[in-house]
Amino acid sequence: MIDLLFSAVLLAGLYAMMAYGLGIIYGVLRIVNLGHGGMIMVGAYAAFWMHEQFGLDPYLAIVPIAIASFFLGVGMYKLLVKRLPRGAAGGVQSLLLLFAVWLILRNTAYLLFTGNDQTLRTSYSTNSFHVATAYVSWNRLAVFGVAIVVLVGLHLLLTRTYLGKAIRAVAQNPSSCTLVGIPVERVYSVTFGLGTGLAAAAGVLGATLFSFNPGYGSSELLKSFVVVVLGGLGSVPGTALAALILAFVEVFSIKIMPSYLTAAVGFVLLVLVLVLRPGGLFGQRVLG
Amino acid sequence: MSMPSWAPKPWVLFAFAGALVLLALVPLVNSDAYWHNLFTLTFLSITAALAWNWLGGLLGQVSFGHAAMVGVGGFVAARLQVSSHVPMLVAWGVGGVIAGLYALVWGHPTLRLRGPYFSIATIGVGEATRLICTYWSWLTGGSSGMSIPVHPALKFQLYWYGLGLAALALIASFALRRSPLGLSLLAIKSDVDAAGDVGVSSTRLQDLVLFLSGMTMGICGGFYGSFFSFIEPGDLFGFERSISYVLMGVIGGIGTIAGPALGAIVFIVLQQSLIAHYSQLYLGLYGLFLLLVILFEPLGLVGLALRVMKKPIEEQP
Amino acid sequence: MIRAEGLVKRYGGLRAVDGVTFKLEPGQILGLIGPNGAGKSTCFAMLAGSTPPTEGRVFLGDEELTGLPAFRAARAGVVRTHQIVRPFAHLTLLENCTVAAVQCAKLGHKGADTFAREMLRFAGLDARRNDLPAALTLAGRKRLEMARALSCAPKVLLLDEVIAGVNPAEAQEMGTLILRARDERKVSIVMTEHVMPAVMRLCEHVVVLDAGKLIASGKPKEVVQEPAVIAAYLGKARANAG
Repeated sequence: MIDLLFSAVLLAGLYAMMAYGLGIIYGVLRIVNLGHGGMIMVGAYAAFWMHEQFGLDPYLAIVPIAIASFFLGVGMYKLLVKRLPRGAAGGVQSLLLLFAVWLILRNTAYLLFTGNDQTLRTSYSTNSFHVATAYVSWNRLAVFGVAIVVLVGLHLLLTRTYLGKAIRAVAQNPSSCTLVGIPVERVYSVTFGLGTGLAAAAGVLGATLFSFNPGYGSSELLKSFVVVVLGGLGSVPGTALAALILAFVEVFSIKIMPSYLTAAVGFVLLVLVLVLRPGGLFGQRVLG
Repeated sequence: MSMPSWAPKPWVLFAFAGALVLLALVPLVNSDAYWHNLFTLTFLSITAALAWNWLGGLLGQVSFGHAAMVGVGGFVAARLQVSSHVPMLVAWGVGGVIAGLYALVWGHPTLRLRGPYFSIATIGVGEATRLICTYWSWLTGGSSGMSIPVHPALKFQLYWYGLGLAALALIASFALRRSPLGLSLLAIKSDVDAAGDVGVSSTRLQDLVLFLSGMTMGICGGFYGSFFSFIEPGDLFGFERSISYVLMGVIGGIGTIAGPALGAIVFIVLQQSLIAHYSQLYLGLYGLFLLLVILFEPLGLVGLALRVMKKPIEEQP
Repeated sequence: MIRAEGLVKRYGGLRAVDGVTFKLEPGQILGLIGPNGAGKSTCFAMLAGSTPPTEGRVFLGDEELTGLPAFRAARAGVVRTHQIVRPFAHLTLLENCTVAAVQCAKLGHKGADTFAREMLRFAGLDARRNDLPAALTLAGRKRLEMARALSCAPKVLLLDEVIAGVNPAEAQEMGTLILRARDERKVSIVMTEHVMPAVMRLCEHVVVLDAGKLIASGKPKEVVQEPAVIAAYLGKARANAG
């Protein structure tokens, strides 16, 4: 029982971080990044490759991978997303566009690494320690730790820096922003890069926990969406709480159904959350 | 005023009838099994892509989970044939109806969501359906699937059943688009509130399209089972299958009458030509096409064709 | 023809419309005016069924329309246009009107097509009937809104600021169109409008709203001289200036 509790909390950290990458893009650009799962997968494979080729520890690899993914995201925005109309008219179009990006990323990973499941094992992958009656793996704790650091850092970025304030301003009212001299387009591209960077970083962390293949990221995408919709946009406490809920539901449902069905729990939760509670826990609307 | 503006032009009717006759005669002169099966599969994909487009293109709600209905219809039909010895066509029909009803169950509340949110929900629906139905092995035989015995002579005749289905789907697509129902659907797609302001009951019409689209996908599932004599949930309910319908519809020309049919043909051709050496490449290649379509030619192949023929584009994606 | 009784619309603690009662006689053009934020659009929305009243009732003749969804109100004969034009972008002009004729006027496809063309001709848009709305200017799209609303064969037409935003010549033509609608199409009209010359020219009767309450009612020339009305309009300006 206690270890389930620990599992859930530690998992929630990862989910919160993944969700934030999706949420920040939606909150500011009003675009659903269907390539989010693809970027998580890219992060996982990048960490894997760096570990295989250079023996680089994934926790060290996070920073360069996140930075590279940031620039990849900025590039994606400038080359592709920017061309589409924003808002209601462009909604499904940008969805399909980013979906296309996801397909391409998937296929590229398939070509480079084959479709087989891969794992990233380090020397400490299986080490764990005792807390009360539970075993806690160092790895999961480290993932949680990184997630917390990132989320706190994001919170500080958004509240204390000029960039963060610009991002929040654009999220609220883009047209007024141009009037006060905020470079809206640049904020968009930076935000998109932030989103993809976060996703890739989450992918690196995920690679240390789970095995993955080019299809990795699709259920993570949906889980991120559950967290975003449940937790409301841009709200760190909301995201954290929603991630906890999702993680708890998942972990404890393992007790009552076979493991592969627990993924279904997430999907059903997604549909229910979208249909029943589009306002999120903190009351922000996702409908139209 | 002779013919109403929505009636098909005479040459279109002749071309359609002519193509039907030609295609119907092909197996009588050419008995090559490869082409016979390829054509049959193509007819099936055309039907499915067109049915997807009724929801995705006419109503404007892009579904990433349409394989759910293919699976439901396919496995219901299979179970009926295997366990209760129901004749094939009846089984397809029942499977179709149940698939259509299933579409209503998840679709009616979900269609309140607009645009991208509906699409995301459909991913969830598709995957949840797959997992739950795989678990529900009474229906699906678990992850190892089910065999459906089909008499070889009947299998050969599936060609004409497929041709018939595809033809019906095309006619239905035409009728839908040009009929008052189609106009109402496009009005809902354009602006659901303004549509209500001129008397369109959007919930009722959306339910109708959901059912029709789901039912047709279900019938395709039954057909698929009879054609391959074996179905498994991972394939029939799979995300790859759902994706393929999106690709066929959008690349062919979302919202157009026959675009998805074109998209289906190109999809199959590409899939077949790459299968020998680059079997996994086509999904990424299709991703690239999708990218190009979204960025440069929103009406896909149909839009491209209209542009080449310098005709006015009367549609909007 | 159409009767609003004690309409109230509350959004949380805010009363956007606070107890408004008025009546539209058959064949009349009624103006619904007032300063910005007075609740005119909200009243409109409640009449058309776009939003249900928190309190109060709406009648069309003897038939109660209170809280009916928009499509039922439209089929009953109360059709609105929109302040920000909302054409069906995916349909041609003709199809825009045909949809309305089929759903509201309950005509068969062919009959609806014919009727739609008639309405387009009425609005001067027949020549462009196979174009998409994107090809029209704003004035053209406002005419399309009118033609589409008329294709519903309504008993009551609710015009939401149809004249605002076009140049004077077009405004004059729109006004003539409104008068012709009343005379030739036999519709009663409620219109909200900021453009005062149009109100003066077109409305036989005027009702003034301010801060959700009805403050005056009568002939346009008399109503605009009432102190309460002047205060409502100027008061805002004075408050903004001071």
